[in-house]
Amino acid sequence: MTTRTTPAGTWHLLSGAVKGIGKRYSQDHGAALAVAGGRAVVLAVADGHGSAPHFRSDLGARWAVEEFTACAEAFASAAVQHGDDATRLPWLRAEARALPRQFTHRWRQRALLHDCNSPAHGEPPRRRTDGDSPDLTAYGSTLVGAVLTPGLVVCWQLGDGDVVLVPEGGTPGTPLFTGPEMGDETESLCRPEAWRATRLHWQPLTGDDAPCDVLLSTDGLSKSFTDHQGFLDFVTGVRNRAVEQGLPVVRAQLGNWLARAAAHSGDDTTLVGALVDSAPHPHRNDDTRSTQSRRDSMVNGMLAAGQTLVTEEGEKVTVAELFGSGGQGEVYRVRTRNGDRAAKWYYPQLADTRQRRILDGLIDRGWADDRFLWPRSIVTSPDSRVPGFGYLMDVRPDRFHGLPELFRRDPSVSATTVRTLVTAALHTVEAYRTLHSRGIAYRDINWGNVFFDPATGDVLICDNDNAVVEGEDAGVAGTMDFMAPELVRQEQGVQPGIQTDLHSLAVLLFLLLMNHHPLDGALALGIRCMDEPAKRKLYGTDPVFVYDPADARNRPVPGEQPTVIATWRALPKILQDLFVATFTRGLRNPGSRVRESQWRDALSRVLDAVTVCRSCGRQNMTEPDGPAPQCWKCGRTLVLPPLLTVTTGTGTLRTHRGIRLEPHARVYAHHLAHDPDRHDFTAVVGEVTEHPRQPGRFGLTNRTASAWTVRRDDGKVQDVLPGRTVGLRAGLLLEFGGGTEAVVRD
Amino acid sequence: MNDTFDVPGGEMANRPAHFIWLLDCSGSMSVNGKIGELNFAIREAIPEMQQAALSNPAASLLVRAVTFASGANWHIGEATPVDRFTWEDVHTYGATDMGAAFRLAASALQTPPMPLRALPPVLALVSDGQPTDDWRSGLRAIDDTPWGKRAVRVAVAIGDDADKRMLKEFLANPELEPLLAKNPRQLAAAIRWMSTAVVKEASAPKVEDARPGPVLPTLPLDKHNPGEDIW
Repeated sequence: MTTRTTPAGTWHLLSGAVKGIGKRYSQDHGAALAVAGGRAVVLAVADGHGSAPHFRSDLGARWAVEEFTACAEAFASAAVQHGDDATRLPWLRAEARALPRQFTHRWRQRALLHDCNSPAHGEPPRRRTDGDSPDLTAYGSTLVGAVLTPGLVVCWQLGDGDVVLVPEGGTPGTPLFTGPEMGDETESLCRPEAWRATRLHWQPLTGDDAPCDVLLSTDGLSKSFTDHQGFLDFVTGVRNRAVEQGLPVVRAQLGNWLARAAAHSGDDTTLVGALVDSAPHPHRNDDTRSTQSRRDSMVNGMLAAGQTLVTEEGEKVTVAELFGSGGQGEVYRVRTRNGDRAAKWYYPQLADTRQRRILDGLIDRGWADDRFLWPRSIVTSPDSRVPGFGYLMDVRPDRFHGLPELFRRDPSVSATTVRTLVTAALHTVEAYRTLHSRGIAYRDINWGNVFFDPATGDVLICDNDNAVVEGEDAGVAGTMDFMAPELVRQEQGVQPGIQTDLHSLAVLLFLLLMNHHPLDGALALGIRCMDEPAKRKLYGTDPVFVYDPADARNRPVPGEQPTVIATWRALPKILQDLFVATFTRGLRNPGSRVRESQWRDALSRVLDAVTVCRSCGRQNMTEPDGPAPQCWKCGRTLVLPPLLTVTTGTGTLRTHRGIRLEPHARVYAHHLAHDPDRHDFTAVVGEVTEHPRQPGRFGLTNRTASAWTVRRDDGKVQDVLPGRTVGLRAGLLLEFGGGTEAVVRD
Repeated sequence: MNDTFDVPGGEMANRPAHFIWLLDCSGSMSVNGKIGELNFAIREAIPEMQQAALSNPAASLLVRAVTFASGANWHIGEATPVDRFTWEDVHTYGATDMGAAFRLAASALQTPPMPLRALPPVLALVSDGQPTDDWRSGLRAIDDTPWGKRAVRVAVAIGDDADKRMLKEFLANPELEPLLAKNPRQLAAAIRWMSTAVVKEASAPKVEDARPGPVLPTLPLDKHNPGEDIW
């Protein structure tokens, strides 16, 4: 049940979703986004098939929405740009026809990559590519999408679902409806050449045409009604309520309505819509809400739903609902002129001038980095009805999950793989490095403020309101389990800063990769009541790393602490060595703590050396340039794939990196940089692909815009033009340009 | 090992964290619907308590409840994992035998029934009046148990008639004051705070940066032999 909404200028966006009865999680996904500077809207819903053969269809549905919206956004921008020029319409129409091919291709690429990294059927992918095309049944999903501009409505549909268009004052239409009986078998993205089955509705709006509201839903909704008219009545009812009673009422109630309506089908149900802003409507203003909704919507917290807050810029925002509460305050969803935001409101005793000064400093800094949810503006209660203050930040997207879910091995994050885990560690390190490089200490790094996307390893750092310039005073010294020993001991003259952050970061990395606290071994088991004095000893006065080579007192106890024993065994030596260094010398001497750049380089090298077990299909970390370890899952010795050794730099000091050439392995821009600023996994330079007509033969495809030069060891020299592939053979030398070269080794 | 995950290692090791409600069900609690407000506040707080528990993967929260009036009873006697915890309304039945409640709680704070290893238990006391039995002896019974003396204690006084000095003695920390709830909203806020912030603090203590002033410990530390006091 995941939907994404951003604000639009000419339209009001709507989205709601309910989970099917008795389901653990929803296989639906939806998005309603304003694009092209608010001059166009992209809508999309996808319904993962959900049954046993489609056990990864929640991922499939999410990717369907993401890949469709990415393609549709580009289309919408072009449509806005050329919309007034009638001569460009045929070209736009051709683009609209080509769009299914684009997004189904991108969807397939993502599913293939995921399947290759963690094979759906427990086999190495090589074995399953014997047939015509790989089997992506596990990811099967539908997709219904639309692009709206002032002059154009375009809808696409692949598989089940519904598109309803409601013109102003007219009767609703369902242009892509194919009749009531589709049977249970739906068209699906997982079928070969799925784009051929995509239906298209193309509707340019000329001067006389009324603009129309557009609503998309997954088939869980229409299946709940005995006839098509019943479904249409429901959808137009939702739209009419929005016109008559205002959007806040509809937004507040949509979940309940959908739940009631979808109860008959018992299926996941998602509805997104864009309603034309046809002002002046008495109730269509977001600030208007009926007394009924005001009475219904008391939230259990310091702020009440419907309450107005005001930003320092004078903008009024409205409290919608409580997201959750933490150690310092409560977080609410608030409505603003520019869409929903999150507002953190401090507990009264913490809303002091010091916190206010810290926030002012953070906001002035105007951090524009997509890895941080940064404070945007201070908010207060306009008539001082509620004392204190809070701040606005962006809403955390649903794809990001908390680390506690991962540590508990919660099914919601079961898409996590070794590769995404290491990627998340790498992104975390790089994010804190960026912060520290600008002289800002975070001061309370813990498992509650880093969020990650299990499918990609992207991270988002939240709760940045304790971050201060090194040396400044903040309110919090930290969470004890993560605090540097000198802080736990409350030593004179020691305060939280970048060097203590490095300890907290190492604890977090250990938890992430080992799923255990680095100082909780036999000594912790000897403590019966783990209270504050006990933690003070374990983490402050007598801290001992569980794998300290010189002090075995705190070794994990077999049978009692099996997780860390298993995960440490699966960890390459390059990372073991860093943990040992930072949790032995670094415990006593803050200057000896492992720095982010060391973590970054080691994690990056390990990521390039991740190898899939040929026996059980599980991903394994391996020692870069090291011998083949045994698979953590099945115990068989791994077969290491060929290695691409990339050398960068033109001087005498050159950087060498080794990339294991698995099917679909990628060479990224950061591989070609001497000292990369950031690991960007969308900047693909080359990709290992299979020969289209010779299964089992692999090559490296040039994904750049310029040619590579390759030299075979028999002396033959060739150019590899963009989009072309060079077959992989031992001794092959590739020149990427700019002094960067690579050699293939068996 | 968890088979649904494609990464090494099973779930994180965790310790149980026991939470015990001690709820005043004396006759005065039925005046002005206070008992109803209490039932409502606890029900309201359950989802947030579950949320708070989820935020700490190294703890598994177990909840019980004692009521006291004429005598004391286990309202929920089995330590229930918070994700399965539901609330049956409590009802009033007479006097304010808080001492009996303390003795009942003390019986649960021995090892066994407490496990060998756990996080500090939380004792959450809610009262609107003066105890009618020998509460001091009951409190000593709690202090005599190994888990009772390490318990994190919080208390809510409902209305002005509650015995705040007595509640302060229960807290056993000169720096802490009982929370005062004079209306349903304050009661809900206090119950929510006990169910969330206190639960988190007991299992993963946050430390305030007290610079530049002197650092005050949040709990009085044993001065005699701090090394051996950890058990």
